[in-house]
Amino acid sequence: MGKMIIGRYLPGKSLIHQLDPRCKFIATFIFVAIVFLANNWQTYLALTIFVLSAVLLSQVSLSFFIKGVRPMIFLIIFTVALQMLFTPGGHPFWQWGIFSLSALSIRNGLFIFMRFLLIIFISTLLTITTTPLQMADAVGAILKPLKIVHFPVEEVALMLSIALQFIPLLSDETTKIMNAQRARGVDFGDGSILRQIKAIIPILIPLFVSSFNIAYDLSIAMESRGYQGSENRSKYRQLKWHFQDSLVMLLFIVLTIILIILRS
Amino acid sequence: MAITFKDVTHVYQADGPLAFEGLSHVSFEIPTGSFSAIIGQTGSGKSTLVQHMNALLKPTSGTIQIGKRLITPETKNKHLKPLRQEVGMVFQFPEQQLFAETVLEDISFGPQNFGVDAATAKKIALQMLELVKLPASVADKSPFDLSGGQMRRVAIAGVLASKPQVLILDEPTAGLDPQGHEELMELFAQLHQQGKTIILISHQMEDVAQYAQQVLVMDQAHLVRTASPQSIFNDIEFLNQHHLMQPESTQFAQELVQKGFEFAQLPITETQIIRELLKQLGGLHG
Repeated sequence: MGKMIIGRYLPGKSLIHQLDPRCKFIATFIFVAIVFLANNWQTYLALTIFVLSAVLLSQVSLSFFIKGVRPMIFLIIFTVALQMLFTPGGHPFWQWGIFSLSALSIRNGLFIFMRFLLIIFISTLLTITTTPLQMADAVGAILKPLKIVHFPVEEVALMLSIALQFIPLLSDETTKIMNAQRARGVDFGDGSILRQIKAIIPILIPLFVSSFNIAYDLSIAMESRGYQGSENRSKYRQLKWHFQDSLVMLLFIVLTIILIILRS
Repeated sequence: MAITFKDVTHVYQADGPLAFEGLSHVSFEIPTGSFSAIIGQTGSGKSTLVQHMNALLKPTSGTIQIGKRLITPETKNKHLKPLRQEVGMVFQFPEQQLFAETVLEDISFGPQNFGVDAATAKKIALQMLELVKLPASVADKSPFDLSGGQMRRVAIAGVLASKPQVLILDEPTAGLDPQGHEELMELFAQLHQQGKTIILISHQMEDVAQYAQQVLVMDQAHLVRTASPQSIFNDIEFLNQHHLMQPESTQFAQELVQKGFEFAQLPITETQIIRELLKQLGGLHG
């Protein structure tokens, strides 16, 4: 136990892993925005090459990215089908009532499919190469300007990182309690729905009790070590913006320009 | 019920990139009605090992024979209830499994799951309460209003209530006061005398020395030795190699050896050392 992967992070030492999480976060957002600039095969090709080289650089096997697509597959098929069947214009070579298929609609469907795939790949890249804690730090850092409007940025970042650190803890706890109740003869996932709902109670109550206990212990531990709100606190995990991070940002500007030039 | 492990390996997250072995080619036998202890450092695979004994975990390879039942990697999760009734398991800090509104309900939860009717289950629960030395007055209290030590007893009563033939105890006395510790160990010894097979995971070498007939030593997912407590606690080199301690009595006896005493075999319990010293000091008559 305790060695489980939180989220989907895969440990590694690749160039992508070493980038500043803020850089990766911003880059992912930029990418999701500029995907919408692409509207012909040249631009999609440029984006695909870009994403595939990023995947290659991360040294993570492609199968993990394909796994990332799987939960979304129905949404993708549904959207692509809608696009294909309802795009007006072009010469329909198949028509049935309001449904029609034309070269144009197939092209549109294909582009939408590519758009989904690219966005999923790039966000999977972010979650695979960044630990949840780095992610929480990055969110905290990016939200910092909101301090001007008295948004409690540090508290939110702290809450986020505590919540993330609780996930593996609670999951271990759940396994433990489920095992204990199984040993006392509970069958999970067996019997009528009513029985299955009833079987949840012996897990939920101990889980609530122990999470309250953990939270209580944590707050006592923080207070006894003099935690006084997060004003002017230095950080243990320092985020450092390196030259390579600036380079990535520059790369994104170049990519945006290429897309603008290539789009029709 | 005898338990036999044959070349059992368990790999956690077998498909993931972080796969690691929790058990590696473990073979041993626990005879019916015996008292066995499992010792080893934290993370050596003790808990993984015992969770195979009631099929909470299944082997990645190898087989486990529990009484008449054979557990293989292909064993389905269904129809394991009878096995879990026969093999009771007290987890580490079992008080965390309490959930019911009253102590009585919580103790009768196990038997009722195994098909005992409510009235009989209640009767059993009251007997168990007495067995773990709790006053009958706590029966209708909420388990969450009890002290930590009392909650532990309620949880243990909840496992005993299913009347298992094999009782697995994963550090059952961790964090208890000395009196509570002793009372519970006495209870387990008593259950052993009644014919139950007991398997105890413990870091308290004194308990291991005093109660166990057979000791299994785990280190880094491997079973490194199965032997009597006497022979294991006499093998200082082996103990050091696997970062284990001797019982206090043995440590004391060893210091006595340096002062000129001689023992054929180092005593491992208080009773043994006292008897031996009386003999050597000439105080034992008859």
